[in-house]
Amino acid sequence: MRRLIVVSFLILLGICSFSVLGSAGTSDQEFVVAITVLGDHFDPHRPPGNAAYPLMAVFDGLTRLNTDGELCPSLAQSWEAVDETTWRFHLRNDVSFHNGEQFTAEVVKQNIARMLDPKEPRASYFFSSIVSYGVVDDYTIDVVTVRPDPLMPYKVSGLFVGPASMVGNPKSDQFNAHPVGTGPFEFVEWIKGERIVLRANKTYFRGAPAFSRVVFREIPDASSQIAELLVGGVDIIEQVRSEFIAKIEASGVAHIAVAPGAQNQVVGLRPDIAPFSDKRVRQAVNYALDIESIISAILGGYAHHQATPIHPSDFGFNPDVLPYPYDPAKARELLAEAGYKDGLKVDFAISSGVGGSSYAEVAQAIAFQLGEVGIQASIVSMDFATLRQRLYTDKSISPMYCWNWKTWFNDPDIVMFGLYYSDTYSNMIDDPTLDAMILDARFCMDAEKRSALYKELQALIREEAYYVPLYYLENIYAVSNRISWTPRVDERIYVYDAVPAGGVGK
Amino acid sequence: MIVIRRLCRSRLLVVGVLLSVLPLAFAIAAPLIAPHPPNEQTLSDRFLPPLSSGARGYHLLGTDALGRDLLSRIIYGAQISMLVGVTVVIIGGLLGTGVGIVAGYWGGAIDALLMRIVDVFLAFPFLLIALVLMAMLGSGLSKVIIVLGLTSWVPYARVARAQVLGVKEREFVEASRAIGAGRGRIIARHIVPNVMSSVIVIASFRVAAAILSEATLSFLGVGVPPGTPSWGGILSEGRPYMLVSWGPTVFAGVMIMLTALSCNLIGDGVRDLLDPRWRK
Repeated sequence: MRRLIVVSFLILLGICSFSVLGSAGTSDQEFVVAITVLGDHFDPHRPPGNAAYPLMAVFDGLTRLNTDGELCPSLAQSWEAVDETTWRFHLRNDVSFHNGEQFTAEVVKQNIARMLDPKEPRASYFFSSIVSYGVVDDYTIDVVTVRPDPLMPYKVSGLFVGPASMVGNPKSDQFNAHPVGTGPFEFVEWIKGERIVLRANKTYFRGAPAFSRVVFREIPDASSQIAELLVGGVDIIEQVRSEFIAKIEASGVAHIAVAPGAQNQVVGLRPDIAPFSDKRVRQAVNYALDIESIISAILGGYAHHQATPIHPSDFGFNPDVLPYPYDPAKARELLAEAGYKDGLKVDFAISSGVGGSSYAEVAQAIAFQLGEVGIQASIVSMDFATLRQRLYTDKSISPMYCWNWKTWFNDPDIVMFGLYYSDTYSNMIDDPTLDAMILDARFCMDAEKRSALYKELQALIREEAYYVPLYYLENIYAVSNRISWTPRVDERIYVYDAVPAGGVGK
Repeated sequence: MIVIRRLCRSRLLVVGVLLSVLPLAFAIAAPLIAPHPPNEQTLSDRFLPPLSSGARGYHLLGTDALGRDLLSRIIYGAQISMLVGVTVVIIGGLLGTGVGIVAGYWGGAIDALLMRIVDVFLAFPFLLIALVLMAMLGSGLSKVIIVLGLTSWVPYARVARAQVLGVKEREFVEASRAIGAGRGRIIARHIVPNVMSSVIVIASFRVAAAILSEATLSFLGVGVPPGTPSWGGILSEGRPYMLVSWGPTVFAGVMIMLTALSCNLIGDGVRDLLDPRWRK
């Protein structure tokens, strides 16, 4: 009868997720963030990934982006372009690290050196244009780029700064054991797979934070996250499915906050192998999909259909480039022209790590709609690490795969490089015209010319249809009524932004 | 008549067989009785409650997250569960019984070696081995069957070996050997028939285990691909939406439970039936 116990377990799993998992109730001064999976490191220079929110709480960049994505001073008070390729940053002289060490230009120099270390996994994709950097005086530093880089002041918002005593070590051990930064919160403890606890840095240079403690709790299951929120165990959860909005709003203990996300969801179509080496087949896939219906039915309308991965709010957005219309007849026609009159079969790789919480359903809807025009897409699901490895290193990903890339700084540069430039790790696209235009736009200091280049690029990538641009999601957060917090355009939870709803603290 | 009367005296067996009627009927006649194609989506009819009508007709059990008819998916899901249950038991049973007979009959070093392999398999939790193998092979129905088959032979091997050890010293085996019967003939005519009754009992229990294992793997996302109507898959796809729509999780769970229960009852019944003490 042991089998029966297993069966009951399976059935009850869902029900159990609603049970209250021993919540102590938060004090007025504690702020608890639910995280699906905590990051695996606390190193300021590694790609942040899931560790981003705790990193942002403990460390500061030279600049920072506010809630709307605008550039603001942080560790650097001001900056200027000394010449076309040199950016000069004037640093604050009143900042010290949590361990008492002083913040100076020399420390920044050591941090850049550690960030650019080619032997370690670093978040250096922002900083690849840096060729040299040098201390001008104790609180001034110059950064020289290979060609003009108009986005450098934005990019250094991601240059988290650690103290001189720790950045000498290329490995992450010290930072993982006890990270030390200049940020609004100091490290207290990190229990792997369970929680990260931080306490307020009362002497933070932008003012003491409103909460004396911040806890990041790992809660993998979406239903458990909602249950915890409703009983007061956590204060904020992200990636709420639209189906739960009414229930949360009706609870009286939490409210919904919505903001457009930055993550561009796409379906990749490998142009280097059959069948998608033929442009007509790629376009056929675009015509075959009724993205608007998918958005309104599965995503509750909380997403925006895109013609290209460039957002309407981005620099150089081209309003004349429209998404492919839903036209199954045209899709069949194009397939027949390309020689696939009797349809074709293709594998479609998906991963739970890409595309938001409802992606499994979206992928099945895509497969079904493709089936209607004769493209039999078999869904192959894999874990995110496998998907990334097949895409980045093995180049063995199936012809069709789900993928996404984030828009940074309201600018097309990063996403154009990430998705379309031939010489980046994830692409099988090799289009010299595209490459030349992407490079020209990246290093163009003349805003008008640069904007025109991007407008032209959008028309080109729509025509070539290397991807099916799906949508960017409206990020749906549920926030406890005890908390006042506004979502950020970069999709991150910056705990310093949160204040108690009554305005207590700070 | 005597056989039927004897069968009926085992109440467990009768209940088990009655319970298995529904899943078996689903599996055999799925295309005939399913009211809708199992993968036909109607995005405007998501999460219809049981006993409701949508754009494509009546939905007795409602619809799932993509507006697919839940009853049809559960009916087709029976095919996958039965297919997995039966093929896994055949693969595991043949492999395990073979290993057990070889180990028991030959004895010595071969026996020691094979039984240490059995110990190794027993030392690892089944799910761990299955997850590792699935990660290596990739997902898919055929791979689920292979993985479950290759990980489920151990109980057969142990039972078969124990039976062989008992049988091979019996007089009728020695008599055959005395009149010059070969090893193959002895195994085929004397050993195998005496081992089979125990193996069949184990097999009937293992059908339930295999169905549950497929559900577990699909539930964890490494079993059959998304979209394939399997009970475990329906259960896991429905779980995030339990607050909105309880149908998929509950109905798929009930079917898994019914099937596992009926296999277990049949197993109990068959064991009682084959037990000589019970015959008196």
